[in-house]
Amino acid sequence: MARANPFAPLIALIALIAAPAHSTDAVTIMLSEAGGAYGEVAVALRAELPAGVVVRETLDAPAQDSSVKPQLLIAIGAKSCGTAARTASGTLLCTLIPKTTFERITSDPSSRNRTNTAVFLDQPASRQMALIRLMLPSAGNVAMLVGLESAPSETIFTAAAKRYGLGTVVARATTPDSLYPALQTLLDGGSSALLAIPDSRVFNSGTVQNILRTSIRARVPLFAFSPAYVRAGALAAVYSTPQQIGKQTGLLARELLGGRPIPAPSYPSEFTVAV
Amino acid sequence: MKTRSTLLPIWLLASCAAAAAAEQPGLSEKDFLGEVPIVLSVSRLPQSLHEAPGAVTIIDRELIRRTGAREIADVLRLVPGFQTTLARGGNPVAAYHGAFFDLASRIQVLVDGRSVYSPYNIGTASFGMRSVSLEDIERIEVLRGSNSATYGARAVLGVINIITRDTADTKGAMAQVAAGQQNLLDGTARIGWGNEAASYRITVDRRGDDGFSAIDQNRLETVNFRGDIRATTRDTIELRAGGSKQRWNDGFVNTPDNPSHTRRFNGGYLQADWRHSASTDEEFRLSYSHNEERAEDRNLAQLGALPPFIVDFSGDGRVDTLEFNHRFSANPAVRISWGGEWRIESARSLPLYATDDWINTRLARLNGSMEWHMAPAWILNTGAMLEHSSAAGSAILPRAMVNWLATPNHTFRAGVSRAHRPPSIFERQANQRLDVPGVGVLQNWLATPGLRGEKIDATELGYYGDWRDLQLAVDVRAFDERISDFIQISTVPVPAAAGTLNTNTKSFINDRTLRLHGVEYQATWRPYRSTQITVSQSFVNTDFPDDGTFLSVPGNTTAIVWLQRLPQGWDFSLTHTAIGAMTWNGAGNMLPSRNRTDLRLARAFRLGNTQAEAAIVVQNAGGASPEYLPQLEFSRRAFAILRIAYH
Repeated sequence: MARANPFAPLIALIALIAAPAHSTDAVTIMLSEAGGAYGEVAVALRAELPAGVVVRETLDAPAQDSSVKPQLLIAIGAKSCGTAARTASGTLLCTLIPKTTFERITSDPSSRNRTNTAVFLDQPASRQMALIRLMLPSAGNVAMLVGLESAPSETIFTAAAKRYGLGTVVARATTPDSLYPALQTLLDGGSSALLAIPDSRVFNSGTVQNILRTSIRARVPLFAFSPAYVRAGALAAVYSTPQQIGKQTGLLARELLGGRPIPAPSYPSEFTVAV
Repeated sequence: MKTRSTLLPIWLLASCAAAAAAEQPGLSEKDFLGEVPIVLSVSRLPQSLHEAPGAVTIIDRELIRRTGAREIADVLRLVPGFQTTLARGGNPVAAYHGAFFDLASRIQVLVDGRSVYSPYNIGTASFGMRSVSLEDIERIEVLRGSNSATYGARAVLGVINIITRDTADTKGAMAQVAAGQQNLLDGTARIGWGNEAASYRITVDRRGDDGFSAIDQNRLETVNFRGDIRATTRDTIELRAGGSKQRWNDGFVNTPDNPSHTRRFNGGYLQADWRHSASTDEEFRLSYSHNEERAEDRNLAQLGALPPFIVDFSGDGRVDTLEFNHRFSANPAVRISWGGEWRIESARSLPLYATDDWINTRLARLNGSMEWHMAPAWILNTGAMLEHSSAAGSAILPRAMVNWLATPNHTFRAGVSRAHRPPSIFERQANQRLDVPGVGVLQNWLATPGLRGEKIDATELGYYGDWRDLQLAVDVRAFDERISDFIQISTVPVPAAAGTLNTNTKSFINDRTLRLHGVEYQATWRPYRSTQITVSQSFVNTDFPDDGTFLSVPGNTTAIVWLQRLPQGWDFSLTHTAIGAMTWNGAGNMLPSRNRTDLRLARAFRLGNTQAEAAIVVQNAGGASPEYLPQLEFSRRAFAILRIAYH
């Protein structure tokens, strides 16, 4: 349940009293949940902010305190991004959020906040194809299992693959029952690798075991989006850690506070590869 | 206070958020950050061959199919240090570093973790190796070198681990027929079904041919069932059952003391395993298995002027085992595997043991092993087994191997181990009395009491190297193996009170210490994606005495395998083995050095909705050579195979 930090108004009051008379930069950081990766992002983020900026951290909902209008609202995670988009005004920077989720939130009619940008959690298609090409120099085709959530990205991945001289073979799994037959046909086709494109209906705790097992038996290595998959048996994953995301978000926030015009949402610039 | 006025909008917000959340599809950062709760246990695969604690040769199903093998012994001959023979044609035998009395009693053979050792008679794994259909094999892992620390008794000189295909991979229908010269006729049919929750298969297999002499017709029929049930995301239950029936001929025409006669061996088994994957790094397994067998080997022999009498080696055997194993990571650098097994091996044979009772050997073992990544380039693999057998008391069998990953592509290994082989039921209790009607009794075999088990101390140095830019991988093993208290056949006096016609009889005694040392290597080269060439050689020196029994280790062996994919779905393979002089059966049966070349040419094609492959195989293309005994001839034979699979 969304709950404002009970001390938030008090902190704001203190900040107002303590602050010099001229307007100060104020940033509100909203976490979808306390601690965990969200906390790590917040810590890395704060380290990049300029000194003298008033930072308020809340759990999910921004305090409706009109006396302090944050110049910049940073929402960590999909939940707080959704909340912020619907309620807040001012510049919104969503981070630690997948691209498709961000786009869905901001294009939703109930989203009021129009000035927004993001630092995505997922990796650009070209980076993933580059990793496949680097690890499998003689790869021919990349197999992709696409679900309802990842379907809109299919063309982007196909185009990126082409740039690296990789063909793509796509199977669509639109219903839970069609997942394994689609996967089986996909892997029978002689692809060099299977690329996991994030889709909560295709890759989740219920399906992962079988997908990994099937791909290993078919001798088709799996390239995933999280190091947990690599520990489980995927060949490699390119991903960004909460610290890397936080740092990039902080640097972007710094620029925005300094007056930079709001840029388009971006993919993470720093990343890690797990094998 | 401000709080109250903020509450209302938050409340509204919350319900909106909740409503919105209900509509939101799932993808969020949690899909990226969370742990994948259940993971695969690819426990059979070593992390990489650089980290394997010993010399491992992996034979995968592609190699089995592409070389045209009909028996596991056909592919094992390609592993350095192995000697194999098809014997009379239908009772293949495989041994590592020495056959000794033609029974594979000094290697441990497992099929999916179940030992296929046969307690009947001298004790051998040869029959068990034939119980599985080659079409069901995923891969065979051959650990060259003793490893009693992990695999227990009899893993004296090596371990063969036959792993069958997961039932999820064998869904659909498959049929294969092979027919050719020497009345060769083999057939396999398999049906597999199921889904992600549970999958099953049944395979029936038949192999038969005319063997290596006019009287050697042999036949084998097997049926195997396997079911894999994924009871929960963490638990899998595997069920296996099967049976086999073999018959082959032994003895010779015009040889009154060993006349031609048919031998039969029938067996059946059941196995149930439960695996629980607590996490990526932790797995618990509980297994139960039951094996039964019956052997028939009876003939009417004649010796000198005596009237004909029955010589009977028939008997029954039974093995029951209960085993558990726990594998986990104590910390990121240390992986531990430990477990235990209770096992009862029983044999019953009135003609062999002069009693109708079951004779049992009870074994209990506790073993543990640890893989410790001591430093980035150093791995210590150490383990020990504490085994108690009613046949040979208790033994502690340790093993240690250090791997030095000198560079990411070159590893050096050094290790020591101690293994043991308790005497088999026959070696301990043989009491075969042959009744010559109207004349008296001949004591054919009489076990000597107090027979001790054999101990093997082995030292090895190894190397595994991977030249990526040359596409070449090389494994070298230099070894020094010492077998003490070697159990050998000897002549002992018969106690006078027995009242037998003969004064001396055959028995088993602990005799000398044998030493073998040498080097073997295996190099695999893939110059192109469509070409693979593997060369293996072994060079062994022994200090064995010159009497023939001990000449069962050839001084050198060579195996070359060339696999070549050709355009348009054609596939070609050539396998060539050259083996130095040796005997399978005593000094009088010394075989000269021999070559064998097999060729296979195949084409894959589609037949309607099915995938098919047709192949022609020529075995011993180079011409006839003696096999097993000097008077048996393995002449060139060709056969054709047609395989159809429907998914």
